[in-house]
Amino acid sequence: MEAEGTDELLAGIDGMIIPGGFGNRGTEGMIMAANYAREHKIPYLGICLGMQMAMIEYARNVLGWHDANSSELNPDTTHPVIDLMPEQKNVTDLGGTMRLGAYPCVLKKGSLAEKLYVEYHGTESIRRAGLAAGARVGTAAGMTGGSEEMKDFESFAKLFESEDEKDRPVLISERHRHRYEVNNEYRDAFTKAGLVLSGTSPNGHIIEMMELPTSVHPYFIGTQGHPEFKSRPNHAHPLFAGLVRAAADYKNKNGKEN
Amino acid sequence: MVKYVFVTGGVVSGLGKGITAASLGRLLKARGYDVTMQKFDPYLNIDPGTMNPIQHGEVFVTDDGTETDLDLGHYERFIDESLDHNSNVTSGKVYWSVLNKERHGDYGGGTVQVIPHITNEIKSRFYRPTSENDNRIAIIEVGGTVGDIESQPFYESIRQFMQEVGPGNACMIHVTLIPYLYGSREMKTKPTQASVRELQRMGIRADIIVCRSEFEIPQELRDKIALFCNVPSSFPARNRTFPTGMPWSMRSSIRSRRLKSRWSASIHSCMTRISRSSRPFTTAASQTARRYPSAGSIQRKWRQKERTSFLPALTE
Repeated sequence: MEAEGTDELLAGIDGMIIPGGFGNRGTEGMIMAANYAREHKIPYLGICLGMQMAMIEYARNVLGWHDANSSELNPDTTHPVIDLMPEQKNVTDLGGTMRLGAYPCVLKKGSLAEKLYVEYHGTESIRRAGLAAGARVGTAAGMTGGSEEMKDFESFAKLFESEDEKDRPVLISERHRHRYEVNNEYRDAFTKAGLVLSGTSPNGHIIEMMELPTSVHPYFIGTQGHPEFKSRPNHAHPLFAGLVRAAADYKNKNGKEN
Repeated sequence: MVKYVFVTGGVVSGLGKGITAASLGRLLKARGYDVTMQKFDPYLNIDPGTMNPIQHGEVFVTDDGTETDLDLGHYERFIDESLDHNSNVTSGKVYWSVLNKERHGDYGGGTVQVIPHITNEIKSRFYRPTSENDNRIAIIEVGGTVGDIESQPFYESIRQFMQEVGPGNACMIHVTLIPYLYGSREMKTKPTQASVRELQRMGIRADIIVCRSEFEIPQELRDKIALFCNVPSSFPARNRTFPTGMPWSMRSSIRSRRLKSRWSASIHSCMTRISRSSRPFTTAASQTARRYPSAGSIQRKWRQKERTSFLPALTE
């Protein structure tokens, strides 16, 4: 893709997934692919690195920062929209030191992500799942000295103080495996430019999900976690189910050849 | 009483023993048993987190944050349950634990050796009942191929363990390859025989042999395998493109008349052996103990379940 360009290679697709990965091999091609999906309104799901690629693409082409990049892929970039997580800064060992396992995430009211999770899972099971993950994270933090997100565990509990169930935010739990995250310094710039940050960790520090409004793009969503770990033959994960449905809609709308 | 099903592989790796184990778990779960699964990997990496996915497949992450072998992904998806760090044990973890104990002085002046220290450590990692009423079936897969140098402590541990829990409580499934020679249009059983001999060299007898082959294995070949490999009959699995088709293919082999009695003979003799010796005590307290289903009730459940599909998501 980096050599030949996207148009021929991606012609005729109905949906796109960019999954997780490490290192900068092929990342420029991934950014080009994400750009193709966004501009041609092709349903897109970005997983971990895939979400980061989509955000870098947005930063370059919508926000105009032509050398925006992740500090993992280009340490000299002037706009490190993706950066190492604070608790990873002094980590030298590679074995078992990433942010690993199930972590809770609060979904923004009215977002596509919230709609998908509620539709495919039902709110009660998600909230229970989220609480269980939150409880585990609390204990783990106690043992390891605490990460930034657990410093205000109280904010996590506060989310559930509202009496009315409908007021409480939807809480989900996804499994993670990463060191890099969206740089919080660029959060406002992204939201002002139209990107919706639809999922954050309970204390608001880590951006977990992003999306484009459905008025702009039918299905453009990214998640920092790995939904594929929880997708099962009997219960498809909401993000995958949503992608397949959106791709089918795209194919039917554009009928003809494919 | 926990029952153990060990799944090992021979001839070559990549034959699908993980899928076989997961499919078996799925079938057992559908018949009402509680199932748990474990993977024992003989490599020395403490976990697959530092391995290139090209070497060993994508890393699978469990809820509790453990980086595990990709087979755990098969297990979780097939049996539809979440596993944890106890389900993936590597040689690295075993040696790390033993060496730390040695440094800590836990072995009281003894010479630390593979037998008994490493084998005891491996045995301690096999699933143990969590309560008195724990009647699970634990399916434990050993990675790699029989004969590899790294997996020898695992086979020795299994041999000892099967001896300790008794023949009614453990069985061994061995997955092998039946290669096809296009030139002479023949399927060859010799690699399977050699692999079983390798197992026997370690003192382990295979109860069930699952043979992966390009084409359907004719009856004479199955009889030959049964004769030379010491099993009541061998159970062939049809080569399938999608791994999730495995439970169907295993189940339809049960239905096929030619195999019905054989299947009953082999897997049932083994499962029945296991279930018969697990009679709960007939005291008042057994009201809470689960009655272990008999072979007859299993067959009745099959006939009922034959009308409902196992994997509705695939058939819709």
